[in-house]
Amino acid sequence: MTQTTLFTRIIKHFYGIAGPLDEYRLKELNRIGNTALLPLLFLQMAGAFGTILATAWQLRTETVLLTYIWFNMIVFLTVMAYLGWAVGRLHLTEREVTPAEKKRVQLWALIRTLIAGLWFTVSFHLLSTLIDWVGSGQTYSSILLQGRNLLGSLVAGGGWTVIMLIIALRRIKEVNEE
Amino acid sequence: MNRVREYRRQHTDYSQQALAQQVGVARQTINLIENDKYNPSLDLCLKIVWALGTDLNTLFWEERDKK
Repeated sequence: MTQTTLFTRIIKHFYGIAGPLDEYRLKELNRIGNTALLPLLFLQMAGAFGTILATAWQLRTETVLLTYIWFNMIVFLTVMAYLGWAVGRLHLTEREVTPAEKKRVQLWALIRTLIAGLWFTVSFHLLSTLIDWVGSGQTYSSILLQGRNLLGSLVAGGGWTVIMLIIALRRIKEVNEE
Repeated sequence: MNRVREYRRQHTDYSQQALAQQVGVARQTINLIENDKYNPSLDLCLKIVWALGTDLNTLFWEERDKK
């Protein structure tokens, strides 16, 4: 088993790997990461080049900026979707448990997801308030306590928590001792 | 085809999970090795033979086909 370093912990956290990061998993993650990185680099270069061209053609700055942001967002989401698919296809994110352990592990997953959901909701609310506050002329605290903003953050946090919980529970696989 | 599964079942009472824990890899990796879907490094082969109390030849030697 590879030594647990900060790097291996980051890799495990990023890809959602449970259990040891052994040589097989590391080899497959390296392959998946390289497959994602090369098109990502080319697309980033294409996006930057396109932005320079658009600027040289003196197109509206706001249009160019928005197009660049949307382009990057689509590229990012496509790469993340590929990573999720590639890692899932090899069952690298599955957490194998015995029938006796399953309930306990599911409960732990529920508790951890709820804590993460709470953290997400609070962070989302603080950040979205910050975005609304800039240039609004109101105080930060008045925007923070607005009912509409609170409700929006709760809905976003709740939705995120539910999705994360579904993913976390689906990753738990019951395996009989062989 | 290696003989890891055969030896593990016949000479030890290790499950795949127990062997994986002993060696320090995931159960999935042991399963892939036993099904010949992954070629382990020499380092991992040695850890497996030490865990099972045998040698490399017993588990991994293959006769080359004579033409």
